[in-house]
Amino acid sequence: MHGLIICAFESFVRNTYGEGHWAGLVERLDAGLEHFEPMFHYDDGLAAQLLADTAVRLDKPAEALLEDFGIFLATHPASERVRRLLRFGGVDYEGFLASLEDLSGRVRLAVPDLLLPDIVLEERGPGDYLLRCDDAPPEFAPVLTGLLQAMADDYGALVVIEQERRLTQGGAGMGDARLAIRLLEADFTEGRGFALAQRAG
Amino acid sequence: MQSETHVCLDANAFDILMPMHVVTDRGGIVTHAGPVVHKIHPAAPVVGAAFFDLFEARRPRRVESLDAITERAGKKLHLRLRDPARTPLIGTAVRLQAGQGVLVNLSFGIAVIDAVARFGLAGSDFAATDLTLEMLYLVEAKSAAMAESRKLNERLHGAKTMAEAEARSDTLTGLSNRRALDHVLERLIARQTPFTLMHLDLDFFKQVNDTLGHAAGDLVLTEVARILREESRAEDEVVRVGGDEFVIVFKGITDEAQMLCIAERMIGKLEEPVPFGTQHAQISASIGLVRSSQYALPEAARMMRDADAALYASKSRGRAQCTFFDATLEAHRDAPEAPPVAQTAPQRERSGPG
Repeated sequence: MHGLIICAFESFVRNTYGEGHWAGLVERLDAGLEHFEPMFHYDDGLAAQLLADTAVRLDKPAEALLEDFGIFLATHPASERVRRLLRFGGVDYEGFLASLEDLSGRVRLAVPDLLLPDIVLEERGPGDYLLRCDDAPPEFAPVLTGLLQAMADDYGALVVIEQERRLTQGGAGMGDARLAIRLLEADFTEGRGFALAQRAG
Repeated sequence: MQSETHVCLDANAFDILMPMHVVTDRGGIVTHAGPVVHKIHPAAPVVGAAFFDLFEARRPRRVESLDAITERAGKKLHLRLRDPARTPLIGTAVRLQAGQGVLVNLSFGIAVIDAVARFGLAGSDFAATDLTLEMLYLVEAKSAAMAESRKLNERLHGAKTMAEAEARSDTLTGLSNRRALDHVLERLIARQTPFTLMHLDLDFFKQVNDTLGHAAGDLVLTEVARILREESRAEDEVVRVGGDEFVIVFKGITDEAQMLCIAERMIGKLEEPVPFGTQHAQISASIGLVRSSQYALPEAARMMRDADAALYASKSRGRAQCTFFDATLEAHRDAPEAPPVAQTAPQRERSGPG
């Protein structure tokens, strides 16, 4: 697991639930570290343990926690960088959705060793999209759901996003991230706005 | 030859394809401008102004008419906007059909990052095919990645400095340093393990440094370190405590005769000349010894002082001597700064290693 992802999760826990919870989590994790380094790689098992511990400690289902993490990525000032980089994807929400197909490529351009699952966007009808993600870890769908919902608010669009559960032989597994996105209104609110030029500081 | 095809586009199509273009009549007066031109020149209306009142040609320098510019169709034009920031622009000009004038398409070139900030441009200000947004994305993403790398480097640098400060070995000889010695003595005393403390000081080392240079001095010190390690056991602690001062902790040995035997053999080995280029560096050593069994309750600081007094006694007896501490040396211990007795006795170097 890339350190940037765990660092973002660390930032989410610290900013949303407080330093105390974070300190408790790393102590429980007992991995000999207090902070994760964004440019390092960590064992996937460690990341999974961190998520499980966080869910227990905060008494929240892991899926709800991941959705909140997705919302945090697009809305919290500590994660403004992520929001900005996502906003470069398109001038409106539909442009942004289309840009998700390039997301893993865009991310690789900036950080070559940060590999994200490939996203495919199918337009099923006007304003009706199915976002498919093959070989994504099961945590990906809820994070993406929160993120896409929050980005809709950012663009001022009104959308309904639902995770489609596809029945697979052999139960849960990889390759099941499927989100149904219905764009009800593109200009529902003003949105947050986006200046191409970064404010100094 | 293929026949030329004439394509007619209306101004709206031009605006979509080239949001930052200017059309002038044959006299060089602007008749139409793309939406972004209005954005970057908000002070006065663009349409109706003379092209060269709005833009200054930088390269080619003497171009004063658009006719001259269109002769260079397809070549790159370097312009500046006549605004306070003299915003640099690049452009290319083509003559329009049927004497409709000249079209100049503009772009910001590499100055785009400043320009985007200065004019508050948005993604919709660029043509859909324009890669400027991708470039801005990359610049921002790379800056972010670079900032993280820099932070990591700073943290690593801090950790390295701290590790160096807490290091327990001497970088030149690889021997333990005083910090490690304190730790070892503390543990031996706490566990009541008997041991002998040997304090060894090189004789004539200063002369080696003075006559053959510091490179020879460094070579001698690494040789000394090798000999001291060879003449002690793996479980013993060999420590460089100063420039040419060493302490060796012999764990579990408190036999006086055995220790004197080890000490004398060490001195013998240390006196063997070390080849340095065409010359030889020759030194010797004086040794002071003290046993933990000499004390009811051994204390590290006191044993170090007593070993130093025994060493001082060795120095007083000439060089290349070894002396066990006993009560008669108490007086010496209390006057460690007394000047050397013998004229030939080498000066004690008190500077730390490295």
